[in-house]
Amino acid sequence: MEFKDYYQILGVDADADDKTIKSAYRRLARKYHPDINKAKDAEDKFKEVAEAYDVLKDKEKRAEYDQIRQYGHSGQFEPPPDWHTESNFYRHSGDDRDFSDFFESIFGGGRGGFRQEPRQRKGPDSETELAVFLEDLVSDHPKTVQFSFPGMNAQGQRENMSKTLEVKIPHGIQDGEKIRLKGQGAPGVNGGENGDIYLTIKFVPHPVFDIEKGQLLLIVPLLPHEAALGTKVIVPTLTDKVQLSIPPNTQAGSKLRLKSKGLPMKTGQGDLLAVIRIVMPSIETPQDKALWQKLADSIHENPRNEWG
Amino acid sequence: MISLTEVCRITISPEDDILLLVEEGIVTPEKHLQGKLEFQDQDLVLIKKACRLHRELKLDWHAVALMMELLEQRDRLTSENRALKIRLERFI
Repeated sequence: MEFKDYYQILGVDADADDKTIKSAYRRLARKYHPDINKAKDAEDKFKEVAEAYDVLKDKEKRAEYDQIRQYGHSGQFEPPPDWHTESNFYRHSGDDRDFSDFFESIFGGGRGGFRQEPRQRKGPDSETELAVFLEDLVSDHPKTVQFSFPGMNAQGQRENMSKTLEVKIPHGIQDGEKIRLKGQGAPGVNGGENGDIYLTIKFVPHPVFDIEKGQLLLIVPLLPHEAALGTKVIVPTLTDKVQLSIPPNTQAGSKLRLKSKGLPMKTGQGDLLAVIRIVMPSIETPQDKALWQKLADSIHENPRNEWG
Repeated sequence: MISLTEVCRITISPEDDILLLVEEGIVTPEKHLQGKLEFQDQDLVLIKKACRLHRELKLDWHAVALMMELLEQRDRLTSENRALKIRLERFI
């Protein structure tokens, strides 16, 4: 297995005092904590930093580690055959951290090490993001989702597990909300109950529709004459197409409401808001230009009046 | 609805810690006439996150509450910003 240089991970010298180690840990923990840093590798880096601190903050563990460190400064590492830990490894309440094989080969631990606790233990909970398309929100069918999470096999060895579940997306759910799938996570130890899966809903950006404060929005491009004179246009919804009446004198940015054509809410069906965008046609011929000039001569409004 | 005892069991946290989280306003369970607290699934996620920040960043509960508020604000603004950028592109 790979040797871990805990001093290097924390960026401190091998003779660093407790204060320096604590300060290095706090700085790196803030930087890489997965609740703060959303980068993909942040969680692994945080685990490494937390593990390094777990060992170096503890006098006994640090002394054991320093002894071991002489055997494998870099590259591959195997603990000495007669090695056994003197430190009293335990997990804090609520602590479901995942230690490296290197750590467990030295200090044992709660996952197959020789100090494994025989008592029942709930499987670790998993938190993951679930990409949800806007079409999923209006569908009556559950969404088939495959999850993978770290678990343990019957022999108590660590392995990645995967599971396929049918997830019903609740009506009215918002981007960023969480769903708890009770007992669907990693199996418990010694008959303990399964962990839970917590899904964070992430709406996938849609090529046509937007969402603002839970409301479905559609940008409707209109030509100036359509906005000026009014018209009827066919607009898409998430399930079909409907006719939208544009009243005369419609301004850019106006919002027109299509009742019950939006997203399903906790109670009832939401509306679709059509937001008007005015698109200029290209003026290519002298005749086009003459017509626009004629129009310009008959309009005496100044849209920049507010500037004084 | 989830009881305080259940929350302690699920999040593997002592009752005192959960009550401190309630006091700091990190979670706002419903309080019944008999004084019993009832939590929702969403609260479990917040409690687990608060406990992680408390334990792993060595923060006191007040700092945890502040940090969670700021993280929530950051996530909301990031997501709003992303959505507005997409919408702006449709207008330009």
